Amino acid sequence: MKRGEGDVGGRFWRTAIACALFCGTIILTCGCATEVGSHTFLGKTYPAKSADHPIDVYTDSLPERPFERVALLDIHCESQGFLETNLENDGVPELKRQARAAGCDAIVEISERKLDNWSLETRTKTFSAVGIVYR
Amino acid sequence: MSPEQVLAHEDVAGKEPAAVYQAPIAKVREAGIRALTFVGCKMKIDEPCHLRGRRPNKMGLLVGSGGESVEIFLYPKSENQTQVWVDTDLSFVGIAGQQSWDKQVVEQLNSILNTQTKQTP
Repeated sequence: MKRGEGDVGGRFWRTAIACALFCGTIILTCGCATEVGSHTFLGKTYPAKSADHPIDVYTDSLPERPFERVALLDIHCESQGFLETNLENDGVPELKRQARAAGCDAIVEISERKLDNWSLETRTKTFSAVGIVYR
Repeated sequence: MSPEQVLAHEDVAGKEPAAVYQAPIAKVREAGIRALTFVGCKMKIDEPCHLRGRRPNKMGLLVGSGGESVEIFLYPKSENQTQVWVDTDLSFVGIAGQQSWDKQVVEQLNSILNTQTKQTP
């Protein structure tokens, strides 16, 4: 064995183990969040809006201009690690996606839905909202 | 899937419905889509008498959870009465972290359809 060969091999394995531990820690503590959503039209259907169509979000009020409620938007957010799922970061982007798919201009009346009898799941939240179009 | 095919399906034939709703099948189907979303399913089949959703596989604290397929079978007993069967199929990948979602789906259906009944004058 040449001088230093053992050191190089040892360093390689120490680095590999450190990388594996780091990746494992990231997966265990952060995991990945999944968001699933759907929309249900309340009456007539509307064509989907483009992916960059602006969607207004009213969290605790209603628009002052006239509007029509057109769809119920439901989403399920699940974080697999220790990070808390929250409406702003996890819920609103998926609600906006569903609003565009339902041809809406804005989201109102956002509510969190409590689900009982859940096991094997961590940090799960579901949100419902109403999608509206401006008149 | 037609109503007759629903009754002949292996997950339905010879089994009591999980629930019977005094509502037209279209209303129950809409509630079914919402219920599947609430338990984290992405819609895969959306037919008048048959809904199927799949929970995405996940990595994280519960490595390999998700992957279950949840089906809702709808049969129009009459114009205003719909029978419902719910069935969860587990997949091989991640089976240790999987569970049946039948009960939660029926609870959500009950909740949604009762709420809608109350809103109707």
